[in-house]
This record gives sequence, structure tokens and C-alpha cells, in this order.
Amino acid sequence: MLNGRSFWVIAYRAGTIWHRDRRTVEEQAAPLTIEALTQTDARSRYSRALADAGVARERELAELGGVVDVLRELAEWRRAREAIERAAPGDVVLVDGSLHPGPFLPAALVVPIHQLALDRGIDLVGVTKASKLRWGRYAPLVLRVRRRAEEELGPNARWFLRVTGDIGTPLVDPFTGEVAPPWHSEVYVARLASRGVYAFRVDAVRGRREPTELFALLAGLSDDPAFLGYPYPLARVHQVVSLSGHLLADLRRDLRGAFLREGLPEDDVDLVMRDFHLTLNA
Amino acid sequence: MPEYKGRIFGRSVQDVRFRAFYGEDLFLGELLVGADLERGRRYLFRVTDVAYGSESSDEGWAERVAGGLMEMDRAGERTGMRDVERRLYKVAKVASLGYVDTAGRFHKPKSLPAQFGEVSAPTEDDLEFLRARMGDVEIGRLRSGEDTIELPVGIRGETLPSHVGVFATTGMGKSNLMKVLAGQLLAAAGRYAMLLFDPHGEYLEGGGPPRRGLAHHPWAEQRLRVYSPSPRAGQASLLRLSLAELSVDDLRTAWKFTGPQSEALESAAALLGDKGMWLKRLAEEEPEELKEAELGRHALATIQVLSRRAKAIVRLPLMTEDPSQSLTGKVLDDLAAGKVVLVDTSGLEAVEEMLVASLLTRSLLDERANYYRADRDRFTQLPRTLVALEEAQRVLTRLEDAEFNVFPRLAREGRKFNVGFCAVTQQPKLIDAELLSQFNTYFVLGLADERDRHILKQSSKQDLSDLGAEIQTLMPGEALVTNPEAPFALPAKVHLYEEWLKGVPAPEPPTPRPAGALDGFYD
Repeated sequence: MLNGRSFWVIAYRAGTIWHRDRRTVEEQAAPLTIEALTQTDARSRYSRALADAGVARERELAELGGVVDVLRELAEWRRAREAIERAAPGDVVLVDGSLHPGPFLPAALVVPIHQLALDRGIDLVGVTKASKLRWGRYAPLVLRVRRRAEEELGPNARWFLRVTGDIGTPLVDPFTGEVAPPWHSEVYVARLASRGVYAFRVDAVRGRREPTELFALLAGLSDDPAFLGYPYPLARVHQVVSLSGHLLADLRRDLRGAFLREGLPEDDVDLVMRDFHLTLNA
Repeated sequence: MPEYKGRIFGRSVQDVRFRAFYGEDLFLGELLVGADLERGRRYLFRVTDVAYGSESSDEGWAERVAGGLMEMDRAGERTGMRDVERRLYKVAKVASLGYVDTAGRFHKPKSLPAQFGEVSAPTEDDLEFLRARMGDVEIGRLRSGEDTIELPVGIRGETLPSHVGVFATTGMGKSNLMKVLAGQLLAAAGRYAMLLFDPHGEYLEGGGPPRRGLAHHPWAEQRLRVYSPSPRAGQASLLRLSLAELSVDDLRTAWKFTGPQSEALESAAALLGDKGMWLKRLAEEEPEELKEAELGRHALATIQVLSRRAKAIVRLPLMTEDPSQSLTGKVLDDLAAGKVVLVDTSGLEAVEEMLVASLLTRSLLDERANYYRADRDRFTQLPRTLVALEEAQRVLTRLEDAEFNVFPRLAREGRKFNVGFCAVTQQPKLIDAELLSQFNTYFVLGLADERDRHILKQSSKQDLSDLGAEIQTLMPGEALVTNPEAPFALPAKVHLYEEWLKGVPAPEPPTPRPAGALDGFYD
């Protein structure tokens, strides 16, 4: 909501929807969480968040943007766990984003959730809209795979390609040589609709289905004409939790009022709340 | 439980909007009710437009989704939207017709209904106030979109002299409406009379089975009188009109005369003999001789034109030189007795039909005017009478024609003499606007031409400005009824004459004479 350089005011929420027979049968969105974070308390907030989630800190994180991501991801993984617990064997739980957490979220948080999905016979799938996977040092992997698929299969085909090794194989960073512990999840690149504009990174912890069957199901979920090639339930949940422009504007107005009530001079409030991007975009 | 339709979300007294579910099938003209729980009011709405809405704020969203569907169609992978009811909805624009207060009184719309008020289909109670305003001349049932509501729609017979306009494109149900209207007057037991000209021969027999006509009406024997220049045995009386009854004005109504021709006509009527003799002489004598004699100051070519037209009149089988054979008096007597008089003009040319209509209408109007001036008691006993003419734009084009044309005169003066004009036309745009404004009741059926709709919007006694699309999309038999007594333009489904006829009660048979009733009387 506000980047005051030395402090941020952030708002986030996570949600879950249940989709069956082409209809969304239930929607849940957590109440909006609004927090003020300062540079000085970033580290302690990170530690507290992990502690609240019941996992130990593996790395140090003092950067505000990283803390914000961690807070949001924690909320999302909490939702994912609850969904797996509630789902029936054979169900698919879709997650917006990767099943491999960012560097500051400990594997100890995520791995048990993967295991829970396997134990319950549930397919846990994460779809990443903007993948950071690279081929070599710089080439975007998803784009590269897509080019090759188009060359081999033509422009109007559905396809998927596993880009990780077999399950249980330790992951080795080719540049650093660092060996990561084996994961239950596989990483794919897939195009889920023959006329879809995009290909996505798809992570899967397959608790029930073989890849062909799983991707057939995902393709079936990606047939909504407004979001061709992207699983509709993820589009729906995005709409449920996203903060609309109107809501953000209301929040910023309330924030401005709070600053003034606290005695901040109006010039300073203007300075803090000014966003040069708005000037550039005008 | 009223049928739930949606919620109001704006926006002004004249332009109320509500959101409805995507699956809600809303129709133009549909009547709905908006509940204002804050004030205990029930607002009556009419749907004037329906559009799609979506939860996407992106203007190009719907276009892109359509593109997505087409892409999938092309790929042979037909698909559809998920969660349609959540993502799409309808926005209905409705005109507020007014509101009913807690006491059941109707008020014109001067205030906004409560924001987010519930919109539903009207209940019987919501429309009860209308029942009292419907007259005794019922033409159909209240219509809501494509549904019919069990509430009669009609006009009060007392308002017939304030004139009635029936406007419709071919095939929209004019003839059926006219049969229903005439049928209602037939069944009115003499309270009203009607002089109905039938240029297509469809009112009497209905145009052949399975259609029914006025002849099949249970009251026909008692109250229907039919006159025809070529009657079938037992069905109609032979229509005979006397040359002596024809006036210069009748001729000027039937034909267009130039200024010099009009003057020559006036001279002929004044100089060539009265009681129709002038027409006979114009027809039989040589124009040159007439010029040599009485009509010397007029050009020969002008006299020749008059001569040709006089010949056409005199040769008409329905015209007679013998005034005693004329049935005009009989027609007037029938009308005075509260009967429906059908004049079959189907075998006549348009000009001849106009001559007949002009003569009979003028005679009627003159008779009523005379009673009005000379015998007010007799006048008040006469039934209100409606003269119905098809293709009425022929005689109502110019207000100035009222100087000689009886129909504009009827439109302007008829009300005073309890004679109304029922103008039936496909082209109201050709009718003089001021003459049109004399018509208090409109039956508007489907009209394709925007110019026709426009002139009706301007001259109607109710606001039709939002109803252009509805008038354009009216199906055969669907109508809008406006008159000063209706609270708003009433959507109606006109009775199908053949169906309606089945429910018309027959007149009670005369009570048999009791035995011995004549005892003591000389028989």
C-alpha cells in the first residue's frame, strides 16, 4: 500500500475456493491483514512469523520486500494445508505459485504439506504465472520449452514437459554445485489449452494420478474462454482475494487520514504517499 | 411469494436501473415492482432496455471472451464459461410508472425508490388499483413482456367521442382489434353505436374459416346491421345513396380538386339545379354546352374534369336518383338505436368508398349537431357513436381540409356531439399533428417506421418516449393503450377475436308470453 522507504504499510489476504462440475461451490477469503513494517523490525517480524508457523529460521532476512513475501506465502501455505486436510482422496488441490518455496521459507514448512498430500492421495499442483526458471544462466526456461514445443508439435497443441529429474533425485545447482535435499514434487512446463496464449511452470506432487491423467484434468480446468490455458479455479481465487483498485484507494485514503490525525504535517504526508510512478503513468 | 428478479442500484427518478441474475429472462415492456420498504411504497416499473453486465471492470473483457470461445470452436473444442451466474449478470433499465402507497393509492413517479430495493414480478395486489381504471369496453388483458396478466384492459365507452386511433403495420392485428372493439360495442346492449366501414370485407365474415367475423357474434342478429352495394341474400341490406344527398364537400373529400376546379364545382352545385340535378347534368350534358350556358366563366378543361367525375358518380350502382330509395336515414336510425352498422365497401374503388364514408359521416354529424342545438333531450338519449375508417391518413392529412372534409371536422367537433372518430392507419406520420392531438385514446400495435413512432410519442396523452424499442418489437396482437384515464401507457395483449367470441354471453331469449296474457284484449 505504501513504501515509505524506511517503512512499508502492507495489506494481504489468502483465500480458498472449491470448484466442482464447472461451478464454484464455495469461496472463502481471509480478512485483510494490514501491517506496518519498519526496517528496524523486519528481522524480528520474519523470525516471529516463522515461529508462529512452527518452523525454525534457516536463513537471515532483513529486507522488507522479502518479509512481505514470506508473510503472504505463509498465509497461502496455511490455506493449502487446510485444503488438503479437507479434500477427499483423488481431489486436486491447486496452489497459485510454485510448490518450491522461496529462499526464505524453510523447506521444513513445505515438505510436510507435500507429504500430507501424498498420504491422503491428493494431487497437489502449483501453477506459476511468471516463472523465474532459467535455462543456463539467463534464458527463460518456459519460453525456451514453448519455442521447442511449437517447432515439434505445431502452434496449436497442448503439451507438458517434465524439467526436473525423477522424484527423489537430489537437486544439484549447476553453478554452485550445492546439493538440495530431494523433493516430492516435480516441475513441468505445460501448455494447457491448444489456443492458450501462455505456457506455465507447473509443479506437481502427484498423490494419485499419472502425469498424463493429471495434465488431462488440468487441461479440462483450463478451458474457460476468459482464461484459456490457465486453470479456472486459480483465476477465480485470484479474483476473490485480490485487492481491487477501489479498495486500495479507500485504504490509502484511510491511511492518509490516520497520518494527519497522528499529527504529521500535510506536506510530509504528501511526500510519503506520493508515488512517482503515478506521475509517469499519468 | 413474488417472483424475485434483482436489486435496484440507481440512478434517477426517470431512469431506474436494477441488476438481475444472468439467467433471468427479462423482456422489453415487462412490468415489475420495486419494493421500497423504507417508505412502504411499491414502485411499478416497465422494462425499457436490458444489457449485459460482468464483474470484470475491463471494457474489452466480453469481446475477448467471445474471441476465446471462437478460438476453441475453431479448434473443435467447444467450451463454455464456468460460474456464469457469478461472473455475468443483466442490467435492466426501467421506467418508473409510479408507485402505490400503503393505502393502495397510485401516485405519479416523483421520487426515487429505495437504493438496493428488491425487484420482483407484480402481485395481484400491486395491480389492483388498475382494475378500477379499466373501462367497460375491454379489448384484452394486461401484458407484461410476453406474459399475460389476468387483468382486463379497456377504455370507458363514454370516452369514445374523444376519438380513438388504431396504429399498426400490416399484420400486427389491426383487424382483430377492430373486430374485438366492434364486438364489445355490439354486446353493449345499445349503450354505444358504431359506423364501421369495411374496405376489405373482413369484418363481417372474418375473412373465411377458421376466422370469425361480426356475423358470428351472438348479438349480431339483434344489434348488427350490414349495408352493402352488392349484398348476399339474407346477410346485408342493399346500400343505396341518393345523388341528392351528395354535397360538394363529399366530392372534395373523395377527390383532389384544384382551386379553379373547386370554384367550378361550387358554381355547378349552385347553378345546375338542386337535389342532385347538378350532378346529373354535369354527367349527362356536354361540357361545351354547360360552358355555353351556366358555367361560362369556367374553363372548358375544368368543366370536362368535373364532367368525368360526375359521370363516375352517377354510374355507380349504389347511387340512385330517387331520394326515397336512399338508406342514409335508415343507417342513422340504426345508429340512433345503438346498433353497429357495418358498411361493406369492399367492392368499391377507394374514391367511391370515400364518397360513401363522407356522405354517411357528414349526415350523422349533421343530425347529431341538429339535435344538440334543437332538441337537447333527444340528443342526450342518443348513444355515443364511433365512426371507424381504415386508411384514415387519406382524410386527416391537413387540418385546413376541415373547411370541406367532414373527417377533420369530426376530429375537432365530434366530441361535442358525442360522435367519435376511430382512425385506423398504418401511417400516423401522414396525419396532421394537430388533428392527431385530438385523439385521446391510442391503440398502438407494432410499428416498424421510426417516423410513425416518433409522431405518436409527440402526440400521445401518455409518455411514450422510452417505448420506441417496445413498439418496434411488439408482436401481432400486442398493443400499448394510452388515454388520459390510464395511469400510464398500458401494455395489452388484445383478445383473439375468435377465442374471445366463445366467452361472449348470448342475449337472453325473449320471455314467452304467459298463457292467457291476451285474455280480455282484442287480438
